[in-house]
Amino acid sequence: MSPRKKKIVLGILGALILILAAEIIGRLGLAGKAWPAPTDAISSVLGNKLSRALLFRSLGATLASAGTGLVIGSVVGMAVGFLGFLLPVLRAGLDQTASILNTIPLVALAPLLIALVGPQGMSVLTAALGSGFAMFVATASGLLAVSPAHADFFKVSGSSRLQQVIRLSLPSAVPSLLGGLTLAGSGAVLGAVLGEWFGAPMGLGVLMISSMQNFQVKLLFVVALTAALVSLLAFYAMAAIQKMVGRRFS
Amino acid sequence: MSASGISLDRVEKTFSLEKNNTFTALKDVTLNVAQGEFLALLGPSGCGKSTILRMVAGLEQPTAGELAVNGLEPQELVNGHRLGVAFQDHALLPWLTVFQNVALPYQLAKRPVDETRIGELLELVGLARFRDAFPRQLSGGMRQRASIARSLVLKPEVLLLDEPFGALDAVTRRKMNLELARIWAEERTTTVLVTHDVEEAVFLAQRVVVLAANPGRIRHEEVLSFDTARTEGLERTDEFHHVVDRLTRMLDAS
Repeated sequence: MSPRKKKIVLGILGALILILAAEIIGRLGLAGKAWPAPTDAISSVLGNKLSRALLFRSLGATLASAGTGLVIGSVVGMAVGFLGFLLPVLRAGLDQTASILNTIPLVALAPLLIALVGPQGMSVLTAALGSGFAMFVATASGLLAVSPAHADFFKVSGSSRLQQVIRLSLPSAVPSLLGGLTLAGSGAVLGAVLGEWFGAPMGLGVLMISSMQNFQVKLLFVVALTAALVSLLAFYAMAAIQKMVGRRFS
Repeated sequence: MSASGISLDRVEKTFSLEKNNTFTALKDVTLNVAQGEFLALLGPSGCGKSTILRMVAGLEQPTAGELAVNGLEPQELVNGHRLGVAFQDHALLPWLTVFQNVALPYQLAKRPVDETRIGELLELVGLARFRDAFPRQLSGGMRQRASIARSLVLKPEVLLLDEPFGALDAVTRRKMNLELARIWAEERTTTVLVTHDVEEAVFLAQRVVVLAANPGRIRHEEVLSFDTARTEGLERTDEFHHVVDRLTRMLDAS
């Protein structure tokens, strides 16, 4: 068995053991009523037409916010990163501002943000924040990841600064940007779910809050599972893009 | 100072280290390379031979002394796109094909891409079949040949080779040297080759300058005038071995 295969098998095995443990705890009621058996939760939520429709509608809303936020966050993050690259005077300041913005807990920032965009706009904004920082860092570091030999070649070829940016710095940043995208993809999904807690009309986050308040434990469990799966899926989708495109640039 | 070729007049290069310490990489280097000459700079690592090349390419500035290439500052030559450099690390762009890499100097010089010239050069370096391949699909020797084709594409007035075959195995390296000699015989560009390989220097160059380290300085100059052409077989002549032995002993002693 190749090391890669072994890793995959071990990963699946680990996940199965965890699910099995959760199942046993749920079946035996070891953790009380708040811990349903996973199979029971999934079958009862997906088996019910109403709750199934509700889940998929919420998922659609969350995906829409996450996608919009990913696009906005990526564009803004890359633009700010590029600005810092073009104007080195701004670089240190932008780095610090972005880090501070990223370190402040969202809960502390939330009232200010709600006042800014309203509760409906929160999920897109938090998704954009979640993905924007990753893309900013990826852009800022990627544009500086030019190999010294390539830089020497462009210098001795009598190239202009503009040519160096377009023909060398930007392509050199592609692997880093793709790496950032894998983080930004899952970050956008988590950001969107979190943002929905602050009063969005619909979405997985809304469903989490309502099922928690109504003690619909099985629904809550399935919603959380869906959010995690979608986030994982976003990560692997971006990783696949990275693998396809990135090979050419590194 | 002659207006053609490369001239270094009492060139010195010091690098500043931390705490006001300085390191003298080169001291009192006076050197002339005639137009159309192939000169090899031979020396142990740390003797500043690459620094000389980087100064001629305008990548470093001499601390003292005069340096001119065809009567100009290196930067002027660079700005006129009249310099070709092949680096130890091939420095091909991984996202471009062989053809696109070799065409890049035209684009950087804002000149129309001469596809015929590129085709001929790729033929010359034996990569005609690989024009659409990416660098990662090529062997180390092929990448270096592509890099040399790129350095020659604009018909530069001066060609600088910084251990272009340094990372290759001995067999490939010998093959590359044969090819380089053949290419040079066709192009006849003023060339400076930096190497620590004695046989490579003696095989390719018309003149070998041996450098000593700490501080880097010129130790010996050897004009080579073999009767044989620079092709297969030269390395097996007594005369060749004689020169190689002598220069090797000189390197060992320094």
